[in-house]
Amino acid sequence: MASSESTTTSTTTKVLRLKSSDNEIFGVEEKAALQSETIKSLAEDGYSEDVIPLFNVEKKTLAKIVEWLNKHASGSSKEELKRWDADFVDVDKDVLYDLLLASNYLNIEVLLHQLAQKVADMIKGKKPEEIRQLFGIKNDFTPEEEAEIRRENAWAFE
Amino acid sequence: MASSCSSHFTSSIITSTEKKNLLSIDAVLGNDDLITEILLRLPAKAVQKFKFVSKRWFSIISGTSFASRHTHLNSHTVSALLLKVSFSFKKPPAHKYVSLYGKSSVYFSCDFLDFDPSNPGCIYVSQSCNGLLLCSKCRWNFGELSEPINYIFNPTTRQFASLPPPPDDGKYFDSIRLVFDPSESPRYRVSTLRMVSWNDAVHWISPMGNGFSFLLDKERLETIPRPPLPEKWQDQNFRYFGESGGNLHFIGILAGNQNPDVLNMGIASSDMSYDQSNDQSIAISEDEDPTASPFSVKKGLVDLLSFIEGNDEEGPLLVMRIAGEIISYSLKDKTLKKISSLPFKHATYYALSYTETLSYV
Repeated sequence: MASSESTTTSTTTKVLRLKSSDNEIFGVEEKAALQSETIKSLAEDGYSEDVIPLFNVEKKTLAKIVEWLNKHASGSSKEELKRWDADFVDVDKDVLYDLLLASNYLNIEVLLHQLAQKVADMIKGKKPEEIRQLFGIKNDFTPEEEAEIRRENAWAFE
Repeated sequence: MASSCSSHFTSSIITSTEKKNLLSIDAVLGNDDLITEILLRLPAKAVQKFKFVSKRWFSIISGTSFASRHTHLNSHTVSALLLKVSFSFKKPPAHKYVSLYGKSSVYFSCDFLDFDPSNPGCIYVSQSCNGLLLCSKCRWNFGELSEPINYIFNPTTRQFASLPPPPDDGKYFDSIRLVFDPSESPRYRVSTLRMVSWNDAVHWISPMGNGFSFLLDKERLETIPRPPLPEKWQDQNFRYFGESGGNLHFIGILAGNQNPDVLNMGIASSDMSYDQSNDQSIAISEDEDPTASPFSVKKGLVDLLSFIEGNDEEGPLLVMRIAGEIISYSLKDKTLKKISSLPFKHATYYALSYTETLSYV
């Protein structure tokens, strides 16, 4: 996008328009939006003058993502960002999963790491049975296989 | 991302929020990359336990790339102390797990170190380095102690490897050292010299504070500036020399004071980067006791149990024995914190840092 950058003056900031899967349009400053690798490559592919369609993100999730992108491009201090991020990920499980999927799709590495850490903290102290129940995962080990793993990992089960 | 695609597509026709939420979590769980990102951020022991959730989780966790990524991401996270408690020279020490942050403090069962039952003997843990333990095992043979076998042992995964004997029957080496920094390399090294690598140079120092550094790029030997030690410094005051957070630390203890009412302990922690503004000494009197439990202060009851290098955020910790308590001192915040009480008055203690790691040995 070197050509378009050279034509814009340094005082105007370029705004990218992002469209959610349910057709809501969000205007985001380029600097903030390009923290997403997916948006960056879409912009490089020539979408930047137009609307960038994000087929996998609904408006309520995209609104949160945009909030995060703006905050992280605002030049806040490290300490303030840390506090802000802690509040940001303190949401209902379902919102958390949607954000996790969106940050993965949009390829925003820092946010993905924060959200994965949040889920990890949530499940840290749980037993394998509780994990299965929480996530609705089926135990597909036979009793023999299960006994074998227990034997090999005896120390982990104390 | 096919799975999350379909979840969002379906969500527009199904109105029940419960149904929709179910699909979000299914989309997360259907994505191996996302499960991996979550599992990488769990403590090693929890990850070991979660192998058991399903075949899919088992195969994600068992992969070698998972173990090395997990080790890299979680390097320098000391979670506990491995406290060695010995009552006499004749008996092997007991090992206690003392959590640095929680209340948990338990004895390891006596077969904790019996990881190689095919080779019986008495095992001794000499060093702990980012989750790996350096151990040696000896056996009494007709009244004589056998040559020790050295092991690297990962207590989290229970994996171990025996080391080849040192050259020349170890004649010229009084000790071997384990060097393992997963943030730099997934491989560990065993060195037969007590030296510290820092700033492209290798450093040695005597307990009296005289040392040399060998500059690797210039192949030149230089004298290290001597840390500002007090006049009455003796070699038995020396406790630790090592690198942490870009600084070299030289740590010793000066216990006892002219004033018998005040416990005065000096810890010289010297930053050797030619800027000695970071030198610290701590003096603890009864009034300054952070834990509000009365110290029954007597001479000789203060000692350094362990130096924990710490991560960038928390900085290094000194773990000390003060009277009957285990107290940590943060070099960064200059704060004292009680960790635990020592189980026995008349025992010898030594503490190693305890880190959970999935690293292969």
